[in-house]
Formats: sequence, structure tokens, C-alpha cells
Amino acid sequence: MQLKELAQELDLVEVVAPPDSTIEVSGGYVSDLLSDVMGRAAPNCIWVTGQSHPNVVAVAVLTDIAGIIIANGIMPDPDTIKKAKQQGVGLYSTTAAAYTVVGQLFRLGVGGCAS
Amino acid sequence: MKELALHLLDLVENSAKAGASCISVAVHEDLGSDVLSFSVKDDGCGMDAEFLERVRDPFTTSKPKVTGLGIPFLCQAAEQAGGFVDIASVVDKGTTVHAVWKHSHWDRAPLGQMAETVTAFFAMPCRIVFDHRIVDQTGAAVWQLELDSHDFGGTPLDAGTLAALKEFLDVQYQEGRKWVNQ
Repeated sequence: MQLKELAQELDLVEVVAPPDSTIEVSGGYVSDLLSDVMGRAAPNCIWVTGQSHPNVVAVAVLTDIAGIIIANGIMPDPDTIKKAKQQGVGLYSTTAAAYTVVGQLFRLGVGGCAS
Repeated sequence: MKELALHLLDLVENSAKAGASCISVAVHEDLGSDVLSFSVKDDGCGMDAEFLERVRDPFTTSKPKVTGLGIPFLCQAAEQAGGFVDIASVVDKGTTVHAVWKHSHWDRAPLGQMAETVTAFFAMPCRIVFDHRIVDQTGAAVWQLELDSHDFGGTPLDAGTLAALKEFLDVQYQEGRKWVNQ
């Protein structure tokens, strides 16, 4: 599934547009522990988190994550938005709970992608 | 990082990489004022004002792309648990990092495997002065651990001494953790 289709299906707020929204998402990962994401998330996956710190963008860049969904109605910090723009990382937010987001993703056929 | 001990190890490794000949490490737990703090002071190469300003930014470290996320992660860990990080540095003199947490904060990660971590400090090739103390609600010092590598005849310690130190620390920390909730 493409990143833009997924954002549409889940009714996500696009905070920062990804450089290529037609990218095929490889799977999904959910975690709030950044070192865990760095170690286990696969390239081109969609990452669901409740963290809003600029460090999430650095982790996404390092891990080649296709897009970040900040769930639970948490708004990304202004500096996080700035970094995501600079680094070209798709950043989405939603009022839905992380649990719900992951459930919706799974229903759409986006499986887990832990490496 | 799951444990604060990993942040402490990262700070001490930074000091060692900065060419320090002496690293002072202090862990203070004050249950009366509800504060947990780390202080790591070295006499390494230090950082200039410009680098010091950028050191918290996950995208501007000394390496290409991103890496060296130690300080940005430490800042996040402290800030999400009612704390902060102070960094002072002078070129050719050294660096002091002071990290503070609200001890009882729900989002404060546990201290973690301190015995292993402290043992790792003493495997480094510079002088290590380590101090960990716990002060209870009444302000009384209830537990303290003070170690100086000079007392072991200098670092790095040989494998046998390190193993003995690890055993000693295991016992000490088993005692020490009884004073706090975790």
C-alpha cells in the first residue's frame, strides 16, 4: 500500500508531506522507545508512536522509515515539524489511539515489519 | 534507552573519547527533594561554543548523516521526566554534563544495571572517580559508594580485579536499591 493511500484511509492529518507519497510501505512498527525502533524497525515502514520529540525524526532518517504517525492526539513539537521538513520525512498526526491506528493498518494489509 | 545506566555509560564513553585522563562520575539520589542526578566531569578536549550549542540537536553531531544521538536522547529522557540537562565545556579544559530527573516521575526510566555499568567504567584507560549516594526523606545519607581507580593501582583494571569489583558492586547495589522503590 502506498503512503498516500494509507494516509487517506486512516484520515491522518498530514503535518509534513513526504518527498514521495507514492512510496510502497513495507510494513508497520509501533514503539515509543527510540533505541528499540532504531534496532528493529525495517526500512520503508510506517512507524506509529506517541513520542513527539525532534529525536523521532532523527530515528526515522537513520532507519529509512517511510513515514511517522504521531497518535493519541499528541501534536508534534514545533521543532519536530521543522526537522521533518528539513530532512524530508513524512509526518502525520491523528487523534486516534496508537492501538486503533495499528488495528486499522493491519486491516488494510500492512503487517508488522520488525527486522 | 530503557535504562538510565545506559545514558551514564554513554556520557562516560564520550569523556573517554574526548581524551580525558580523569573522569569524575557522580550519581545522587535525593528522596527528600525528589531528585535523581548524574554528573560527569572530564578533563578531555572540550567543545567550542559553536559545537556546544549544536550538541543537543540530533542532526548536527560530529559524524555524517545522523549518529551520536546520545546527548539528544539524554535530553529527551530527562525532559520527559521533569528534568533537564546542563552542559558546560571549555576547549582543552574539559566538559561537565549534569542531568537531572524528578526521582518519582512516572516516565523516569529505571536506573538499571548499575553494577555492570560501573564495572565498565573501570575497564577504561583513564582515572575514574565514582560516587553514588542516596539521601532519604529526612536528608540523611543512607547509602554511599565511593570508588577511585587510584586505590586499585590505576586503570585499566585487570580481568581478575574487574570480576571482583563486579561481585562487590552486585552486593552493594542489592543493598542500595532497598532504599528506593526501584
